[in-house]
Amino acid sequence: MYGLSAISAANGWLITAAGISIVFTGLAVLATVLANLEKALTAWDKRRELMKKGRATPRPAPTPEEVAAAKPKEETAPTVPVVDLSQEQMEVHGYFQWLTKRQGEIFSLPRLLEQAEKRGIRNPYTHLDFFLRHGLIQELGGEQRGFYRWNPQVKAKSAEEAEVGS
Amino acid sequence: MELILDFLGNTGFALADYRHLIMIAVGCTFIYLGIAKHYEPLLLVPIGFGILMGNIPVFKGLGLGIYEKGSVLHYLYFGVRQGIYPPLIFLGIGAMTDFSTMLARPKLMLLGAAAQVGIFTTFLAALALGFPANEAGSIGIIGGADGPTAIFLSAKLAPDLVGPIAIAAYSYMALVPVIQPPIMYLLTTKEERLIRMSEPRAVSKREKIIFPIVGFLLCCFLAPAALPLLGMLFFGNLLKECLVADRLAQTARTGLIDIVTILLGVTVGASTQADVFLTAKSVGIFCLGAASFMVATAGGILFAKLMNLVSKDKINPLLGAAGVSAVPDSARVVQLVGNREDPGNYLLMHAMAPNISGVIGSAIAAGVLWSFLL
Repeated sequence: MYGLSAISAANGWLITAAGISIVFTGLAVLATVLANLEKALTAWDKRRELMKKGRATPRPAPTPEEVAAAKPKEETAPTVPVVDLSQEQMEVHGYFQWLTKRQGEIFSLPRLLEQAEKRGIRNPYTHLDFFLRHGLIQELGGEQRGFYRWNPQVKAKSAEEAEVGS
Repeated sequence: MELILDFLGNTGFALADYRHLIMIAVGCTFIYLGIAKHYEPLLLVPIGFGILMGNIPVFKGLGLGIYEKGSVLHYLYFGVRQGIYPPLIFLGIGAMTDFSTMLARPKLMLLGAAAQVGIFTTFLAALALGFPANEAGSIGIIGGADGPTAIFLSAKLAPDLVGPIAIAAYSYMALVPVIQPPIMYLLTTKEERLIRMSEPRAVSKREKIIFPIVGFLLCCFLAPAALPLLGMLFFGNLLKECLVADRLAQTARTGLIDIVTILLGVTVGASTQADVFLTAKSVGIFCLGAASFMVATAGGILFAKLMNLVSKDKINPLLGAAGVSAVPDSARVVQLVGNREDPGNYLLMHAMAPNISGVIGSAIAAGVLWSFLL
């Protein structure tokens, strides 16, 4: 038997439809699980905090005295450490930020240096060392050890600007 | 004098016919491709030499040929006939594969699923050409571009076709750099080939350890017949990632896989005895296998394009070609083709995701076909 009749006789259409569906379902379910695995693990790490929040009993309504006491006090803005950079360092700082943006928030130093060298940035190692020592770039801990990010709590400022300002 | 004439009559020179010479030429071609062209040398050299071993004309009944009970080759071939070698190879593959690119971007796994369409379209084509269902299933799996899976399934469904199917599967795997690029160019535009992929996120060690357990449970609950292959694949990966069983992982990815590859290659090659191999059926299997491979490549690429239509995060459609599971050759071909258009575009790392999911997908497909057709 040949042709379409042979396919029908062997349940070919059914087997094909079922087979493709099973392969797709299997890999799609696995992909979905893997896509959420990181979130699930983060939630697992924070399970104690989440359970505490869940168990927290509702507090009685606050008295007028308590409300008055709880009024926010005027807060002074937290001081952010500022690192003064030379003109060249400012330029390299900008370059590095542009290069790391392509890697995402978390980046690897070898890759950054490789890209900096490719683009002809002078003395990338020296500049990187300066940024690390002054805390502009910080290493991540735990399981992400070996990866880095820009430290949001340290600001870079041109030294020339600072002089003009003063 | 009679004794000498008897001896001369029993030599290979006297017993050989043109079919033996054809197969010896095929064996030499395999060895040449492996050594000179570096096409899958770890497979083509043992298979090529196995073809030479299997096609020395011998006197039937001496217990020398691979199909003669009691012969050494017959015992070694037991691992192929019973589907023992493929899972052991999967153990080694699992122990040497880093799944982190797949874990970082799981949606690329769908490309590995899409490429398996080649298996089922070839299954239909083989049925339409008059092959019985069990043989059609074994031929279709060639499109999975996974030698061990093809051998495993044909050993279960059509043991007589193990030789031609294995040779076809490994030949096309070796010829990935020749077969895939024209299809990739045909189905993609220059703009699409220039698409750059964003950097994958960093994957934690915990995710890497949990993946083989979750992956195994999910896949094998869905397609239990894939258990021998996927069980060993994920087990090998767990050995690698858990770090506390490094000695076992080291053995699985070096000594064990090498020994099994030698045994598998030589015996599969030796199973291609001219009288068994040179038939019209074998020619049909080779033609269907080539078609299967091409459809699988096209399926992956077209699905990648479809994903681009519905997704904001564009993916380079060349990655779809890596959905056929010839690891890592099809991923390397994606890198080469992408690099030709844009030398700064590094696709290899991204292509490994559909490539590895293709291995899982073809093992699931094999399990499905086995359970339907046995």
